[in-house]
Amino acid sequence: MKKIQITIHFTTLVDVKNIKSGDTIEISDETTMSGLLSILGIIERHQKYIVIMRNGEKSNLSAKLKNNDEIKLFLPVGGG
Amino acid sequence: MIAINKIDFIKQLTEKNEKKITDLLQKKTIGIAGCGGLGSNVAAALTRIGIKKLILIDFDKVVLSNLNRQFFFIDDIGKDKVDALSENLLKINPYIEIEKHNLKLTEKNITECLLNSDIIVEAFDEAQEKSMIINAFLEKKEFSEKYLICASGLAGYDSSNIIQTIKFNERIFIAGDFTSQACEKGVMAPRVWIAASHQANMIVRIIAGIKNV
Repeated sequence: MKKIQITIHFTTLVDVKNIKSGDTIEISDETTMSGLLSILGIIERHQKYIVIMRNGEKSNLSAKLKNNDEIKLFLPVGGG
Repeated sequence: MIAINKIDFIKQLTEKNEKKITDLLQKKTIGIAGCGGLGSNVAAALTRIGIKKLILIDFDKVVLSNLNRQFFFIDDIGKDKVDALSENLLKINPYIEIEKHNLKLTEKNITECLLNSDIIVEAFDEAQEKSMIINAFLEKKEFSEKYLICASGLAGYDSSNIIQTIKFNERIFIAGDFTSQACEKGVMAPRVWIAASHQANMIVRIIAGIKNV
């Protein structure tokens, strides 16, 4: 199992564990997007509707992460 | 209604606008997804400055508690929001073009409803609905040339100054403080209007050709 590096950006209420927006982290090359969100501490209820961008394109929970991926997360909060 | 033709009406309504922006506004159609606190006030702001056309989408009816922040009046209670809002906007500009969709916007009908919009306003209440429109906007090729202006975090009465507009990607902008949730802090006119005004001004900027915050 190899390690890959990804960079994460977020503008959201999400309580992300020990990570600042723009940080690069090291994870297993087997990690899916859903797995990454769990590592970040994003609860399953929020995973169902969080907006996920990967290298500028919309992504999804089952996508497998690759080295040097740039991930952008946005979890809206209610009110309008 | 006052007896004045369209050209003279628009000229006088927009007398205080910058001239070149009025000409651009008079060519644009804005889709308003949700006609509550955000959507009704974005619609009112754009109507006042002379936008050509609005597409109003909402499935709900006006209730009294809406009046703490939404562009409705006592006489509107019980009416469909798209009808009441349309009537109120026409009282500002009787020549504005309005297309109404009295329905719940979903992934299935979003393309049909918003295809003719140049810019789309996400003005929903629920977080899941906000995500739905962003994800649909990113997925559907019909939206690839359009802009989406969202809002997230406008509840309560925390500082006005932490509400900002950010550029999420080249075609999506988001206004709000990104943390204040309605379920915890309630929603009231002042901060909802600030966020709505951020959205409306971002629309004007995009129409003016300025693609940054």
